[in-house]
Amino acid sequence: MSDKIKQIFNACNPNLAADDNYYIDCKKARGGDKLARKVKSRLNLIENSYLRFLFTGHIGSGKSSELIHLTNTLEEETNFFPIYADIKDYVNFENVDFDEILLAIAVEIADKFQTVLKINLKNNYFEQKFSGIKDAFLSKRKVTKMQISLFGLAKGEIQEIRQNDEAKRKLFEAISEDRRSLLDELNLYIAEANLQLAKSDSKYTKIVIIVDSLEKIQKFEDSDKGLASQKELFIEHYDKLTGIDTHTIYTVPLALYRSDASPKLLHYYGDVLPLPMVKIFHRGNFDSEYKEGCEAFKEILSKRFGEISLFDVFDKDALDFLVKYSGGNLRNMMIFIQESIISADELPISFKIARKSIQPTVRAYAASIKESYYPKLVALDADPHQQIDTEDPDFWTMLENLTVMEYSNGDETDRLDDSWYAVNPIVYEVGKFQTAKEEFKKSKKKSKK
Amino acid sequence: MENNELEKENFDEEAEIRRIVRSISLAEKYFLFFASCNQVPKQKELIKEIKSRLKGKKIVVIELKEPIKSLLSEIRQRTKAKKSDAVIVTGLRNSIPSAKPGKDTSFISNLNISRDTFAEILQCPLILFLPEYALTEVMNGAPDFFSVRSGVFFFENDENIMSRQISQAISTGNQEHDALLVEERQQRIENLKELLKEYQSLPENKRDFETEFQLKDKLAGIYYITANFSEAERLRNELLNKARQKNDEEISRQLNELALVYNSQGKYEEAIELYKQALLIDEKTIGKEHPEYATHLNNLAGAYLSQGKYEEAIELYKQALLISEKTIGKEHPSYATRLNNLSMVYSSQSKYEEAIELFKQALLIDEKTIGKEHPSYATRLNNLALVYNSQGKYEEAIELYKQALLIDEKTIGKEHPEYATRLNNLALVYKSQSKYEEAIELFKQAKDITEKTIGNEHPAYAIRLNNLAGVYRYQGKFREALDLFLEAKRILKKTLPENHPYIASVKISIEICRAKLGGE
Repeated sequence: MSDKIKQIFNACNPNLAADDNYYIDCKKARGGDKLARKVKSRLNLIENSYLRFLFTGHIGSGKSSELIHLTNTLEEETNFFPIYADIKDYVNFENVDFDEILLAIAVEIADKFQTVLKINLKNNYFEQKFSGIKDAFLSKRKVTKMQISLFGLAKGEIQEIRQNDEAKRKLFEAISEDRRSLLDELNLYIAEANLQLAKSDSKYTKIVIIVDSLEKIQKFEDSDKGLASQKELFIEHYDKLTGIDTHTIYTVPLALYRSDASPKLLHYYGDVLPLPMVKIFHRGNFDSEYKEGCEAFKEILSKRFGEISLFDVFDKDALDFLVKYSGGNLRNMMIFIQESIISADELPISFKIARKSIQPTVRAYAASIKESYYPKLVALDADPHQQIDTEDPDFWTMLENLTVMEYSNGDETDRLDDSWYAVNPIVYEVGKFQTAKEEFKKSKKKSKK
Repeated sequence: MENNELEKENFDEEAEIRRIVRSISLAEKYFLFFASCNQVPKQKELIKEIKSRLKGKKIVVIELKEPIKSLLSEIRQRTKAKKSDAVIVTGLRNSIPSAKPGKDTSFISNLNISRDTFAEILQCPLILFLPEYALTEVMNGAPDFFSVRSGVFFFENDENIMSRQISQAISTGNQEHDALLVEERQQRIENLKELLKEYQSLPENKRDFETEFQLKDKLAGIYYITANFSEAERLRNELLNKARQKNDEEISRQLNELALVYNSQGKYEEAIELYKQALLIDEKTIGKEHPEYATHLNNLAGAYLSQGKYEEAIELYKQALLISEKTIGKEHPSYATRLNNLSMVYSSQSKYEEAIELFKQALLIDEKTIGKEHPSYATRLNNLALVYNSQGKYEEAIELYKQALLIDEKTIGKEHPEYATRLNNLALVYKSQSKYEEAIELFKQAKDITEKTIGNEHPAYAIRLNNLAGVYRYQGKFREALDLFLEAKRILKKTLPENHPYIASVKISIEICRAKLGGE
């Protein structure tokens, strides 16, 4: 087995963390760099209050990539100083305490100030809390001078707390024994940070906190796992999440956004932006390729493959097929590529292998789509405006498991919220969908007569 | 339509195994894979095969016997401090209830939210074996988790289920045709057609629609046992429409007959739908406490069993058992049959002890009611022998088959499809013991009897050819094997839908033989 095959297989790991090195601007295909544009315009308009902004999206649609890109955009193009905190580095999703989220934010602020601005933001409170658990790390610590100390510990050590039960217990004891509230202390720290920004000769005026992976929390404090925990965090604890004294952007689960909690989310946070798919075909015409989207996808692949040329890996028609059938979902494309690679004896991957690679997914969807969904899917497919009934819970399910995909216009209009929907191309291959489509056509003809 | 074909194309077992093996060899860290397989014994075989092809790699197999709450914690506990090249998990079906309101689905929601943590605790690929319904549950209930997969593998139902359906097709219900030989059956078909034609050509005012209905019903029955499923389906549909103008009992009966035809063709969803419709009608007409209702429950359970939905099958078989107990009592051959069916599910689940216990109960009842010299008693012994064979207790199995054959000889005689089935099963044991000559001798006998009794254009005959060819293949006689496999494929393609798993398995054998023979 060639190393090349191995390298490509591993480069397409759908579990691979988002990384701005792989970020490709899909803005045209996605409806105009929506997140960065919206956040920027909102930030510029805001006076005397803080921005609260929620971001959500399909599985594998590239939420983290977009947030990292937003971070870079704010840093380069605006006067806002973005702090990106991915809490998956700080918490155990199966058991999350609110204070852990606040600590993660504090650590990321300290880190970013040191690495980017060379400002050492001291804080007695945090130092004191972390000092109690130093022992937990001292025994195995190899002191490297390169490591920057944040509140007395290296960033990596603080992140390790989530796996170190002893350290975690001690830390939380120290926090709960203190009569001061962690939120208040964080807000003081943020005030200090904003002051230092103003005093420094950098262009930045105020920090913006971007918290990623919040949507992945499965158990929050004492709540039941799942939706109950998510409601507890985003709805019941909204006063805390919106109580941080600076601009904040959080990721929120798509399922919560589509649930009955949606009105409350909008009420408490003001704005929820769902990230659409990358458009790779024109609205209402699956066979009409949308060039910018397809090119963006190929570029992403190219970046992932490094020195290996795309055409060493795929025959051209094979690559076009995989892009088309991904429906604009990057992770789907990665899955199809992996399915192709494990079936192919040699490179480049032929059209035949590429086509076969979607078969397991087709089979899985064929089994999962309820009988009653087909008429709805066929109607959506035939609708020239490509709209769905967003009140219909069936569509929530179908959006969540990607039976139906959401797109945004980009080039067709300047309106930011002009969403449209399409049936996942995989569904086109399902026999029952084809039958339902034939029946739909017949009934149309009849009704015309 | 080209599109339509992709979904229907078969998953080739050998290719799927190769894909799994390759995935494990390629993956350098955590990757998630799903393998859909409905039958527990088959899962075991597959895993054994995968391990044997990856010698030198450390494959950890986690067999979950009880329902669990969190796969993550389970894996964390069981892989602690163990370095492995792949982790395979089986038994997830216990934690994934097939869609039923009110059942605990916390396992699935936990999967979804713990998605990103798996990559932290596992540095190697994870392969989850589950039945197809459970895959669907994961896809709908844990979309995030499902979305980070790197591949899904499908293994179709294997020949045991197919064989059982076919033996069901040649022996269920239609006792009056059972004893007929091939030519006699063909003759019967011709006679019935001729008669029907004459009836239909009567002047309109003299037509006897009731008799026409009965003739068609008989014709459909005989089409079914001769495996002319397309004709049987067409006639049953017609009869069902006519039944709708008659009465509810007849509708229910026709629904069941049509469902049987679907089931034999592997169209389980369609069959289940019809069985359910029939049961709804039964509830209004005969009520739930009626032997007929129990039979219909039993049919539905059979379809679930084919799909690997053991929980549903067991529940229905138990219901049927209870009804039989109340209506006909425990000392009744039908009650023994219900016990027999339930134990077949246990044996499919590899719960051999439970299965054997129930078979023994059934045998005791038979001894008191129909006696030992009865074809049904022989069938029971045959089923118990199947369990022993699965356990690798070959001597016990052989002993039972021989007993069954003796009973058959005295009751149904040697020229009977059931006798052929018995010989076939005994030969399978010899094959497992690598006693190829003995196996070949018996497979040949079984083939000849099948040809004489149900004909050489019937899938049951194709199965005999396939089994015989399988031994030749093991002996390295690829030329002989290939010819038989090709003939089997031809027959199967004529009688079964193109996407039937059995056809796929024969195709693989053909490919292997061709490869071994080289470009001959």
